[in-house]
Amino acid sequence: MKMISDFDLFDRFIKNQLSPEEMTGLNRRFASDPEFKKSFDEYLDLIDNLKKSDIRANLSLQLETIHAEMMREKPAHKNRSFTRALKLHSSTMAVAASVTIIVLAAFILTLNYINSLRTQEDEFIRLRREMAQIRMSQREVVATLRDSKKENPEGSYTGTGFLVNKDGYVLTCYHLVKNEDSLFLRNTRFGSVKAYLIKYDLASDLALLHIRDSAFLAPRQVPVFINEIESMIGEKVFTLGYPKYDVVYSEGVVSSITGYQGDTTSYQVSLPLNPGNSGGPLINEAGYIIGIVNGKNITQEGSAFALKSTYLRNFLEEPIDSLTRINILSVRKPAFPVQNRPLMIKSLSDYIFEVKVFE
Amino acid sequence: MVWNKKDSISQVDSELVEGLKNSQSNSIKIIYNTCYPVIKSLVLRNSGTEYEAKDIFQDSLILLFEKLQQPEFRLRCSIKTFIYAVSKRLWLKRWNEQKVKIYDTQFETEPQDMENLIQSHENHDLALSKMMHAIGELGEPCATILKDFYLRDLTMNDIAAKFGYTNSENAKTQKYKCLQRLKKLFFYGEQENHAEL
Repeated sequence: MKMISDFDLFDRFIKNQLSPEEMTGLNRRFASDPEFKKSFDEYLDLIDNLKKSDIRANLSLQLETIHAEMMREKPAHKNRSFTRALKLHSSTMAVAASVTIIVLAAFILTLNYINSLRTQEDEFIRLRREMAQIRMSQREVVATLRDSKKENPEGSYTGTGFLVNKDGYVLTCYHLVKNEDSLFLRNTRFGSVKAYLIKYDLASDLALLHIRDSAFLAPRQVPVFINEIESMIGEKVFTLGYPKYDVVYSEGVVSSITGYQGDTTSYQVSLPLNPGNSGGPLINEAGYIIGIVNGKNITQEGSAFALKSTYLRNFLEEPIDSLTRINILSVRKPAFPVQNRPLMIKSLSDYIFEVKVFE
Repeated sequence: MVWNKKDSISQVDSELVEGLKNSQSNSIKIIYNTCYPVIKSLVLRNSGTEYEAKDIFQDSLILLFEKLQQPEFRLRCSIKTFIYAVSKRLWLKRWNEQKVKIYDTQFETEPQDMENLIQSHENHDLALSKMMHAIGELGEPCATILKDFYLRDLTMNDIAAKFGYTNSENAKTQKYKCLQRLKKLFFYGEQENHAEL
């Protein structure tokens, strides 16, 4: 193999291991053999770019870390100045606060009274799919199957959840799993796997599941990035979920930065959603997860709600116990083609599961 | 950390430039923390989002870093001014098709010949992103073998031991094959099928 020995020569050249005789030999070959010279130039170009790209990748990573640190430090800084202000003006603030409380109490009482006079119009529904209902209507349609006594393999409720890292942690909505007896997750890549409820937060309606199943082959990498920044009105978003047996895509925009009845922890999104979509990730055009779908307003068309990603991060960053913390991926750009939507969905749907809940 | 109001290279600045050039994390951090807010407000004022600001800013900082590696490059203004000018250019480029005039309150005149600077960086940028893409396509163990040999200066014997080759000749053959593949991917952009995530 002549080529190998050529490359060997080049390698030793850039590592300064050539003897003076070999150097002159090399120079003579450059002069006589233009093909050889071209191959050498290409080699130098290649190695140079290899080195530079490595340096850039390292720098990029460093910048990403600094950015993440900066984002984390900001709120802490605000807090410090807040406590300082608190110390300085505590007496004034106490008076102001008590006045506020009295006024507020009066206001709330009045409001309650007015509210009790009129019937509640808009109603918020959780988007879990109630299998019993569907079964019932199915029984009417398929009368021949009525006598079948086979136990329903679909579970009592189904919803959606998504993998947050390669250790098998899955995020979903708490309302979906609150009465769980056992949980199964299913998608095309991983099949059906058993999962357990690890922790939950009632206020934010979040639950963390952990896949513990020998059939679960942990992926090398999960390209899921939960955004640190709040999204703005008009941002195009989409979600993937399991309102039926197969994964369903729906697309829309962020239509308000507050959720149901002015809830600041959620977005309102105009997105066609159905029971079963609960727990699905809300993803923007850049492929970042900006929220988790948790409900919709049944009296208004196209107004669904999603908890903001910052609350997802807070929930995930809280350690499970003193020994276990969850690694959340921080990458500069999601590792899939964002320009090609079908390809992006194909990549992402590997990490989105149908959550089957048995009560 | 105090920035000189006057737009000249202060003592602190030249130290930071030296630090950035040698990729010292402390200097990079200081530069990041002082310059990022300015770029963020520039981008946000011109209907950008926070992650676009982050992207633009990091690209500008990387540009400065890579320019500093070139011996013929001289920074003739403060770091902040330079990064601001580059970011403005890059942001303008994204909007170029729409012919939007950028709303900008600071730094009316550009400190250096940005036109040429960014032009020359573009080719360099293209080559590097091609290389990064090629390395991604190359996969393992090839990428690590090449990096170990060319960047971390391991010997062929070390590599043979690390990857479990029976002798350094086998490792060398493998490395040669890897290099050939990288060369193909880099120069001719030979597309393999979409990589598994």
